[in-house]
Amino acid sequence: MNRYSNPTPLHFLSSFGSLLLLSSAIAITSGKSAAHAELGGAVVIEGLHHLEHIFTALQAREQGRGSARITHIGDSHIIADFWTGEMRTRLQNRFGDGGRGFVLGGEMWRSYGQRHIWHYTEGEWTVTNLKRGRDTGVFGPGGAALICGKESCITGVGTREGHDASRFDTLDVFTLGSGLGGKYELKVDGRKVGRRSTFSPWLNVLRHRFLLTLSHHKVQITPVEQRGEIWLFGFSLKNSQGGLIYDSIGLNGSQAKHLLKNSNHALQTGLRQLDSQLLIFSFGINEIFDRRYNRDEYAMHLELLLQAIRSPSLPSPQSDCLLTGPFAAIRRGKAPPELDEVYEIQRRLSEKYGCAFWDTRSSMGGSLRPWQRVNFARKDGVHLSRKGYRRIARLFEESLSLSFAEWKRSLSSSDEDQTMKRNIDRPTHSSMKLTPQPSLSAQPARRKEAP
Amino acid sequence: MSTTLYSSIIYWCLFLSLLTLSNEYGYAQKSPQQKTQGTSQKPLGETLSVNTAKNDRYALFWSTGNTWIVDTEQGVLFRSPTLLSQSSNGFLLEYRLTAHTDRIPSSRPFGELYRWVSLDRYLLDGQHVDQLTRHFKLEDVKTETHDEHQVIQFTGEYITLVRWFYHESNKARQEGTSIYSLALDGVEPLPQMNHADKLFQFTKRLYPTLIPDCLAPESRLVHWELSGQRSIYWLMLTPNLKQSSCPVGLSALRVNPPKLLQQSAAIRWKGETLYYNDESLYGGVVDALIHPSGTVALTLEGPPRDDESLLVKGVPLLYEKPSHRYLSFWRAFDDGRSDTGRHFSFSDELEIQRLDGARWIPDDHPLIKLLETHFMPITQRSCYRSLQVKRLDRYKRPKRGPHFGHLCAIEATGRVWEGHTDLSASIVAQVVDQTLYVDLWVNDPDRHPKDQIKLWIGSQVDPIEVTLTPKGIIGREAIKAGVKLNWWERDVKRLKRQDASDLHTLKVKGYQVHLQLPLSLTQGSLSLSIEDVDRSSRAAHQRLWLIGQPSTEIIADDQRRVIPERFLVP
Repeated sequence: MNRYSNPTPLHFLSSFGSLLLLSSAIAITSGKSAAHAELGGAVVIEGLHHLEHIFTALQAREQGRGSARITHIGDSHIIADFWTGEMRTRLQNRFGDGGRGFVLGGEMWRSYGQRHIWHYTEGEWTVTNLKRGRDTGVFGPGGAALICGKESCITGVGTREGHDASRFDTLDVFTLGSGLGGKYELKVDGRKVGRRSTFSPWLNVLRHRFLLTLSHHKVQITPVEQRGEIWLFGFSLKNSQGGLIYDSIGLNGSQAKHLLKNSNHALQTGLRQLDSQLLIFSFGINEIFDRRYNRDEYAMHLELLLQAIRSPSLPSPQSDCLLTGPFAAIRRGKAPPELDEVYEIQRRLSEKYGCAFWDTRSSMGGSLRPWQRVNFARKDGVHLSRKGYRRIARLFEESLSLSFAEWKRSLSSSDEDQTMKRNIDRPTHSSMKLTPQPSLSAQPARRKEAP
Repeated sequence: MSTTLYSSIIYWCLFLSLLTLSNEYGYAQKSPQQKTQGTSQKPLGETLSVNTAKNDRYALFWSTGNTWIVDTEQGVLFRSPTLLSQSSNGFLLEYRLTAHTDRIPSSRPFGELYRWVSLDRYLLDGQHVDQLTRHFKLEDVKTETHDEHQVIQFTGEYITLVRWFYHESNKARQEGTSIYSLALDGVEPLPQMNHADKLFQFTKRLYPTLIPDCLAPESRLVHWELSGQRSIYWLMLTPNLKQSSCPVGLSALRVNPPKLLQQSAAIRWKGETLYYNDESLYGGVVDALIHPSGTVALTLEGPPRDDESLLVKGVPLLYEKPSHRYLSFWRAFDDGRSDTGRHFSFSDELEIQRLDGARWIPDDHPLIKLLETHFMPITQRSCYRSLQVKRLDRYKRPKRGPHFGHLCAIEATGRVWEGHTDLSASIVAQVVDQTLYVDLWVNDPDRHPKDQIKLWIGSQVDPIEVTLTPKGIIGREAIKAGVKLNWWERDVKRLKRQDASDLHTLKVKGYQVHLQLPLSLTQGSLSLSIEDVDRSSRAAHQRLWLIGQPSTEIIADDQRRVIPERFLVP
């Protein structure tokens, strides 16, 4: 065909088709934007002046100094490591790879598994955790333990080359120290590294530290000498060269009150030994879906937990505290009314005990339905899909970044300091700017008032 | 020993004048058997008697919650993971600590935790006899409570426990520690010291700076066994609660002087050094069991104990203080000359802390019958000692090996190792500049031309294995040039002892090996084993691991990889 030939009917048809395609493309794009708008956006964390320790550590990391550690504790949303795994990747990309952090001692239950970590457990280990099993009032940082006293029992974890957070040179082994404690042998990459006794005159969480070469490793624990049982809580894999660690700790179906199965002392010791700058607690959804839910009881249990963690009798806490509200949820076709109560209680107690609070629901856009429509949430009205967890991680990370930027701004301007303190507890969304994901504009949080 | 003789005499007199018996603190409960049969208690303060019968084969002691028996003839150490002892009425009893947990209903979810650890006695068939510890009653517990007991010393006749209690209420946290002893066999209670405050004040006047002002005396006495089976009593001193802080915590004041350490005609203590016929056997011996014959001894070497002084501070720390101590068995074979003593050491991995209640027991002791069922022989376990290397300016050939070797690092095929007289060895290693000198003495009465020494050096991943024979080195050609080997067949005069009164001299066959190799070739790692072939059967073979051990990794069928042992050059 001649390039300069006259237009034919075919040309008209073709042009019309192009217009159709263009218009439909515009329609799809605008629909997507609308969908994204419904999927929420970042919000500033409430009470961010309570995040002094972690923000200081993050600021140091920006200058390539020191380590930062965030320990995220919660229910099935957390232990699955979809949300937290994504958080780890995102934050480590920005602040450096500080290692994998805390992992449980082995295959605690059939479905247990986390991103880029391999467990292998052999022998007659028994499992105890905050929900069931043997009870000593000490459940370690991870809320669960593998128990065995026989030399045929082997358990361990491993990381593999090329994956995120796979390299570590500092290994902490967490066990129950007791007067009946046994002895274990540690092997790293098949080589004996040492034997340690878990004897302790008094019941406690023991942390044995082993220094290794910086690499990915396979770590293995075996009880030896039949001197008593080993209660293995887990491992902490850390890169001492500096970076950020993001721990993911949780138990399927657990509620905040389950942490109180620990004695206060055990809870405090277990968490303190992780040396985190920030403890994040994400509970609430299992409480709401519990048929025995009682508003006052829930408030009391959460307060007891915060009392234990933020006890004034503790030496000045080096960890900040952050509560995240439960996800938007759907029960019998509508949002459960208890959700508002839980938000009100969490918000009130956060303030009372010096914790920050992230309004997850607002950040999600206020409802789970749009998330379900784009397959970001499952039909059970509680859990998200992998894409959904990635999305929530993105929202959380952006909210954290936004708050961090806000905190840094407040530092740079001492004149504005008082103003910050006055405004900081209000979600001041108008000033937000998001750089990482331009497609996701920051959304004003819709604070739900308690009924 | 820190106290003077003078103060010891004063103390002893004062102790006798103040010591009375009282039933107020009768912690020990009688077992059903005791209640029906009754027993007689040994006089207070009596040290454990050493069995003076001819038999000196088995030694018994307790440490780290285990019962230990040494078969000195076979060179085997046996361990039972529980505390076993024979009561005076003939029952074999097992002492077990058991943890219990209960949840007390409260406003806290899951209630308040109450955890207690009890000490119970059982017959060997598992039948529960009695509980020796007392605890808070369940109905009295309202808040989080721990009531835990740990054994800090078990001597067969006495048990000394530390009790830790922790009680948390909304208002405050209370915790405390106490220590007490139980006379296990007795119908008699432990002694109670009346007018303990008088002794306390007297001591403060005698040693004005010894006892911090914040400590106050209890009236309860605690039994304690110092090294060398010396029984003493402690008066417990607790921090005064009215004072805000006390730097020392729970402490113990010795109220009677310890007896002199046990001596025999040939074996003597001078300070912490054990001498045999005026020759130093060991320095830094922290505990020992010496046979009255003076020809055998069980010794424990390592960091000193902290319980010898007049005032012991921080008593609970005495238990399981982590330290590496070596258990050794010494037997004299010589006719008085210094170069023929010999002893064997067990691995420090055993973490034996003390020789509590140590005694020689006869062959027909009931615990001996349990060796096959309730004890684990340590010979079947890792029992190796790392190579100790000295750095010197100039190599000097040592005249003899050190007084230790391996008692348990034996693998035998087709025959049973018959003890140290059957096959034993010792080693001395020195580094001069960049050369490692290794001297080796092997006692092997039944020499065979195919006896040899295996050596592994170099990389821990891919080590070099060579064989040393009287005719030379077999193995990688590359290292032959760098290694110098001398092999001498040498007999050694030994005294063989039929029993305590019948000694006669005999010559024991053996050989001495000198090895000289560049330090760089070893890469700081070396394993060495003596391969002993038996004349009676071609299949019979013994391997004595002198340095290193096979790894648990199997490389082909039943072949285990040997990873050379790392050694440090000072």
